[in-house]
Amino acid sequence: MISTKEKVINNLNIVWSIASKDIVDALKNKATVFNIFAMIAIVVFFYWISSVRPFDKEIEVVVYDEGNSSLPMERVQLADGYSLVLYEMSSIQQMERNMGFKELGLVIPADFDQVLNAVGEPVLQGSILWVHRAKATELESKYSQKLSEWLGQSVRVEIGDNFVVPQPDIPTWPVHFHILFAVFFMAISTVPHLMLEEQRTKTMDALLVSPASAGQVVVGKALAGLFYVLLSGGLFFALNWAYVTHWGLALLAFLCTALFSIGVALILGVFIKNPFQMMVSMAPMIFLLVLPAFFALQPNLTANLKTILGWLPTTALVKIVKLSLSSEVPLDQLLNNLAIALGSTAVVYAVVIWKARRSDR
Amino acid sequence: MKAIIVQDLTRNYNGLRAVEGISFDVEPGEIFGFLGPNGAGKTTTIKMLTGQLRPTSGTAQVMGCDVVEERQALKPQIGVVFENHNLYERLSARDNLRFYARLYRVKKARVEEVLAHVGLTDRAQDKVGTYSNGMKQRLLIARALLHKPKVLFLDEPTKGLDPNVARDIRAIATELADQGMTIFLTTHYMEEADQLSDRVAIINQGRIVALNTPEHLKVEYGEDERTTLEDVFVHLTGRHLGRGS
Repeated sequence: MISTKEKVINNLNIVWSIASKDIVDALKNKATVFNIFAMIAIVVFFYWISSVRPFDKEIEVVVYDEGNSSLPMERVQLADGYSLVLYEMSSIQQMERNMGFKELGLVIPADFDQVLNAVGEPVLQGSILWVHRAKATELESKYSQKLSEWLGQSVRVEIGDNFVVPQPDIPTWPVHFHILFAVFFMAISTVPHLMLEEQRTKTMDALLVSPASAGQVVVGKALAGLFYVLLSGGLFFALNWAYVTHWGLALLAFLCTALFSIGVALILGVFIKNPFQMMVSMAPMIFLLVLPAFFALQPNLTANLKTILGWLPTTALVKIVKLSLSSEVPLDQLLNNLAIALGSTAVVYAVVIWKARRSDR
Repeated sequence: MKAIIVQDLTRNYNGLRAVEGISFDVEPGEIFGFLGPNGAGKTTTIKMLTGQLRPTSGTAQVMGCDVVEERQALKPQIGVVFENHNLYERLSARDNLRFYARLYRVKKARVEEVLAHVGLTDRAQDKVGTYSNGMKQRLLIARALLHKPKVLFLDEPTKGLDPNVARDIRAIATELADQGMTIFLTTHYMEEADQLSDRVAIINQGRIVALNTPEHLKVEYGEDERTTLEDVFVHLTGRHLGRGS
């Protein structure tokens, strides 16, 4: 009689054997290696475009003008090709709230005009996004120089520790969306391939007469997929660590995203029967799942559409990621989105197990 | 105890009967030839006996394990050499076997034993993708023997192989049977079936139409002492051709 402990060890041994074989085997497969490089390119590109912003010559500034100074709130073209775009806010709170996309928050002191007229050096209180905290000194000097150039007179921007963490409900750079895309790309381009190849080469038959069951094969493939998805997550967090405000939640969000994406990939794997089907279904599946989640967070969406898109698991996942990059985590929002994400994941895995059991016999 | 007991085994596919009420048993250490034309139900039968396919009705036991109810207990008792070369071609022969050794919880030393048994030790580090068909077939046999099964299913083991390799494979099968392993063999080569099998079952359109030793079948269905198993096969599977045609 085999004890429960022995059964568990046997199960783990089989699942890990399949996963480790797949991890090694996939690395010898040109298609998988190509997908890994493509994933790296995607993550680095997203980071470059959203954090380095190489072509961005526009500095958007939200301004709270304490003394209704004579500063015109408009777009200003500077000689070095940069432009300053100023948006006036009615309070410091409003200014901070609107900093999701903006680079700089500025408080113009009540005596600004007097100091300027007296040819003194006005000091403006600046705020930057928390993600840029490591560059505070550099940004102080950059913004001081730009404003001085505009006003034709020396102006000093003091940032100090004025870092603003975006609130969860305001639009920001879509970093939360980038990880969703990277994870889905990696899962959907790798896992179905692992399943399909096992079926195509009939090695699945040999596996199923060995002590491995269909369920263990599926879990083994999922683990191998998780390895590659972890690579994409690791790279994402290595580049974008500065955005994260709640690491525990960020890791939970990543884990949920990984599990769901691998579940979807496994569904593709058990239903797809040949490379052609895989080729034509992979890209549409990624976009079908990921794009609505991107639009769901757009501010100008109609209420109905927002509600519908809010029920999508990928939207829920993106929202959880976003909470982990935000100033606060409203519990009701977190639980709501977690319920949608975990419920959908459970459904997806139920379908996979059902299909695997059917194909087993 | 019989090695294999099959009673009234039936399998339907979308309303069509692939296998229809077949019954037979196989003694331990016997080489049992299972012959039939393409589509007769050979592969379906093997799939049911190895637990890959659930019978529509009837029962089958392999080494006392019910193929439906006791699949997990059945698995260590059987080895299967599939018709196709279903190996991991990017991995070496040794890595292929080590993978299965881990699934069966067999020691690594056993991998070297079976590699030596099938004469692949010298090429064990090479990728399977670089192997000839004969070497792949040897590796399939090594994989099937890894966990020392009691019953070995050989599905067309010499198909497409050159005569020398085919002879080696037959020698391995005979040696294993001599050591007490039960062998369930399907082949299209009647001479091979005649030479190897202690008994032969001929299946046609899902039904067993003859079951006996090759010698008895030749006497029962033959015209004279020159009758071959191929003549019997052709006679029973519905195509009466003149001898040698």
